[in-house]
Amino acid sequence: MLKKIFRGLTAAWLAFFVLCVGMTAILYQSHHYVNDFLGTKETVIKNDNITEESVHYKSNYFKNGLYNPETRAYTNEEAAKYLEDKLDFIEEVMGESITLLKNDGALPLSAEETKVTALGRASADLHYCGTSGSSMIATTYALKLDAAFSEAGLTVNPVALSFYNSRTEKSNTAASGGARIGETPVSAYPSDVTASFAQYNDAAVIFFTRPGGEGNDLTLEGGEDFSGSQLNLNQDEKDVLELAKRNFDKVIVVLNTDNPIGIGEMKDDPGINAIIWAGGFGINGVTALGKLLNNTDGMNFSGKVNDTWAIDSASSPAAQNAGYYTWTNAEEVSDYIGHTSCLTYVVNAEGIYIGYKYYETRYEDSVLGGRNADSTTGAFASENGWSYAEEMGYPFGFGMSYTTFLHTLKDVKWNDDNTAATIEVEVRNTGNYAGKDVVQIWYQSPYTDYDRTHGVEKAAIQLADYEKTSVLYPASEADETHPNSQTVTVEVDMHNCVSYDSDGSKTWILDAGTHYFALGNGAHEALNNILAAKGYTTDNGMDAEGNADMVASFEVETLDADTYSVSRWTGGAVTNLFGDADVNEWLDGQVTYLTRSDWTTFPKTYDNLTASEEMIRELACSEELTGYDYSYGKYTDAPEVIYGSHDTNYSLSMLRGKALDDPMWEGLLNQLSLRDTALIIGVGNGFTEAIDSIYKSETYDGDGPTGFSGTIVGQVYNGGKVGVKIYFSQNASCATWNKELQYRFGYFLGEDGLFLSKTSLWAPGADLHRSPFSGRNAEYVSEDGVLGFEYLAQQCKGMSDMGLIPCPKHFAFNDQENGRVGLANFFTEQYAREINLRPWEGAFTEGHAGGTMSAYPRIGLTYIGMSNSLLNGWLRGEIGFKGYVLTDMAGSSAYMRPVESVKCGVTLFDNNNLDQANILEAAAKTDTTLQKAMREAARHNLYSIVNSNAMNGFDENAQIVSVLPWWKSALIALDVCVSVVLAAFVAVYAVAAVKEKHSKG
Amino acid sequence: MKGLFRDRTLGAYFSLGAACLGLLTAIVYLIYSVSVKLFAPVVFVLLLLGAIVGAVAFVTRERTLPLVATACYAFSFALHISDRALMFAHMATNVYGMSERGAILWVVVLLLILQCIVVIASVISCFMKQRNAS
Repeated sequence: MLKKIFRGLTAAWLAFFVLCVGMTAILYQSHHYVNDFLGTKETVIKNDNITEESVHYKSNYFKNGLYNPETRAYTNEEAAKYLEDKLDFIEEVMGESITLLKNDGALPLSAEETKVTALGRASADLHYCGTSGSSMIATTYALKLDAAFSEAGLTVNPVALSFYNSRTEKSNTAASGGARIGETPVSAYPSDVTASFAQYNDAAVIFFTRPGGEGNDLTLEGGEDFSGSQLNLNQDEKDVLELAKRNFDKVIVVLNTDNPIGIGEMKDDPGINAIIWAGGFGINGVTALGKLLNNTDGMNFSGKVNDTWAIDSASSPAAQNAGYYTWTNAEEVSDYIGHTSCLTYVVNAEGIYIGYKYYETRYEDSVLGGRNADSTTGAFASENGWSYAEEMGYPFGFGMSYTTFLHTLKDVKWNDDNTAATIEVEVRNTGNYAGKDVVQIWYQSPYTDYDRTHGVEKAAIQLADYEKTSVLYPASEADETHPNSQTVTVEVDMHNCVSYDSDGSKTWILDAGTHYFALGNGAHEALNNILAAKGYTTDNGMDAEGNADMVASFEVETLDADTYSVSRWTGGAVTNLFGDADVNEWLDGQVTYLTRSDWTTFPKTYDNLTASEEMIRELACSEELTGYDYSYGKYTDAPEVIYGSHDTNYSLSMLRGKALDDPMWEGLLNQLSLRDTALIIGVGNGFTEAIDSIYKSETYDGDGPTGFSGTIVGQVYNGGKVGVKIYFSQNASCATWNKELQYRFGYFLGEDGLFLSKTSLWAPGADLHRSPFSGRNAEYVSEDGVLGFEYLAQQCKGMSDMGLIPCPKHFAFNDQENGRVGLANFFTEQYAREINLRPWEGAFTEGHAGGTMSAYPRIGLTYIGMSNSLLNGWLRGEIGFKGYVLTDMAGSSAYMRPVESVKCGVTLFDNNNLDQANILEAAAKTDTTLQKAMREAARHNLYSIVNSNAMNGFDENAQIVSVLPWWKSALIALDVCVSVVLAAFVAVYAVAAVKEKHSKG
Repeated sequence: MKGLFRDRTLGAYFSLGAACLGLLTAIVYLIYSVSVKLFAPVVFVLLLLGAIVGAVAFVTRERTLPLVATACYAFSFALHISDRALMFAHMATNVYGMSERGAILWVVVLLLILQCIVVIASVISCFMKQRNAS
């Protein structure tokens, strides 16, 4: 009996023991995640005599010892003020981001119009940010519509809202289990809902939204409740519009999404009085919407759209090749290579004609005549041949206000070498409401015979730069502190305006001919102004008369292929790098890129390409299969690596402020062992390891353009403890067109980093809104490269000024989620340089970003982590980037091969175990080239860390002390206790078994 | 054959049941994980070994074998959880297949449930006698 009982207890306890040990192993392996979650550390900086000088980055909120690495004490008052300011900031940003697209006078609501009915399922399920992965924010305590609107004195129909809250329809993407728009059918509305309209009939405010997030693109392939494009209104949504028009005199549509919904018939529908666009609100930004609706606190619209809003979003040229395309011989490819991260590709056949650059250029050509601009090719919403008026909803850069402004071009001054122009514009409030406006400087370069001969594509209009005014008041209210006008100065850097010629000059060029600067409320108005300056009118087919007074021109006598042929950042020569990314280099003549010289080249979908043998070999991206030296000869002359030297005893903190090639770095790096070096490179999934030999503590990072995860301890908002990840979508932030706000977003992220003791944030998102369908458009900035440049420069600078390392992602060409791992990306050099890489340029140079997360896709056929052209030619060579290059999540070392990647230029792996470190260490024992590459990788990583908030509190008194976090102690204790009990059970069982045997014997 | 079942108790049948279910689970695991290229050999081998030992325990009079089978099942279960931990992290962030492409969540959950049942059944059998007194 005893034997049976103890056999059973032994079995049960053994199972428990195995689970305990297993849990311990999992938690130990993920120890950085656990520490991050619990706020514990395994190395601490101990400094009993911390000096002010050693605190390099100070919080403006937490003064009582937050920067003390041990105590991190703060008061509740400080935390409350911190939270309050952040919430005010979120509302401020959304107040300047939410964009008025249409208004027939219905807005602002009057003081008497306080009872509104919110229609549409999305009114109860607002779009705060993305819905998956690092696109998400903590929405548990996000402000709901009724609470938000009450701050503006608006009462939302509770019956309708309660009805929508009871519904289960939800928008969704194909990747998340089925593409769905998720609008509630009008047929499902109970009678009490429709009966309630009469009591809340000052206005109908209809909310439409779309899903999206990491791993989740929208689709053109139809879904459960729509056909074709997921960005067009489905029948249920159209029914809601009709319901509203039948029951309300004022109908306001709010497009609450970070993906441009097809405007369709809403634009010209007289029954729809106003259309508003609002990106992801963040936790409380919806209060701004309420206040904008009725001008509470003087809040007035000043946002401008940062993407094109077409009548049909499927008309985007990029959308023709934005899907999941696999090689026709995919099985052959993966069999040869040995993994499946090689099956997908995309052809960026639209070239530079992304977004407005397509629509506006084709418009100009339709006015000028010729080039088949008005052919039916590429016409989606036009009845008889392509017509701008029929294809365009709201153009890029457009946005309305309750007031009106008069812009007057005052002066254009050039610098000495004519590479920059200072443009002065006077902005005057000519209306009846106070408000801000954006001065947009637009630019046109001539499309010349040289361009046509050498395949240099030329957009009819491009953004050169912008600035936002302060609040300007109506003339009747103006005084010294309430200005009616402001002279805005905009510095235009011509480096952002010139064209890239990959065929003739093989560098940047400034064409001969007449060039124009123009002002305008968006790309289209500016282009019409230029056309007017050229003498064109509505008689020539323009859709509105332009204003030639808003235009300044200048002449370039001869083609200039010299001035811009050297990098403005490093002085090095600039020439072609991305020839291999042109698919016609591999599959001659199979792809036709869109060209302005003939608009019938509007892209077709390339979904049936076959990889040649040569291409398959390139796709392999392994030394073994390609025979390439992925170091590209960089380390041929580098000295042999020294490990474990005791000649110096430098602490990492001593290298702060030292140039990357300072001799002290050699001493420090010599102190590292091979294992140390492998750890510095191999482990980077949100943390970096402590390295004793150079007195480096562990550091922690965060993920996402929406900020850090974590909780502002003890702070309660809207009924619950609020997290740190509460911001608006980055897309929404860009639509403010306010550089000061964009900088301040970076500043607040920097404050968050200090509060959470985080050193780097994988943000901002810097990829392109290449097509409206990318699921991560919420995390990225715009379809325009220059807007991206300016935005990223500001946000990154705000972060780095607070000691937080900006690590913009995903570098680069990660413009869709479909098939992104191993995606072969084909594009023209001109597109790469003028558009896709432009935002990155701003982040790395003026933004001082100290890191970047490289992307999953490929440059042509080459994995980005092994791309010599991108990492060495462009990033280190032309841009002069000194920071670290992190991989995206490195689960697959079969594709993101550590040896080849490090030799090329990857410096850090997004990995939470020791796999990559072990592979590198083992391989480096017999590979001196790898040793040298690893040394350089370590240098870049440490350089960024030492010039960050990780060095706060480090001086000669500082010591790094290893500690065992309480949870590890608890696990050890648990395992020991369980083991002892198990041993006891086994012993008793064994004794009982022996006794039973003897008694029977 | 009749003799095989002659003096077996409920405890023995628990052991046999665990072995049969363990074998079935092992087969399903093999088919599924190989097809999605996420096969962890140790998980499969331990589960299969446990099933074999459990079956042998039913046939023979060796009374420690149920304990050995339990150990095999428990280790297999724990290793499977550890192997799939990243997948559950992805589920929490609603991003599927980043570095776990091909994994099918419901199949994994089903396999873990089956393994858990196998462990419990084997533990129960250890509390009970395996033979009636003859």
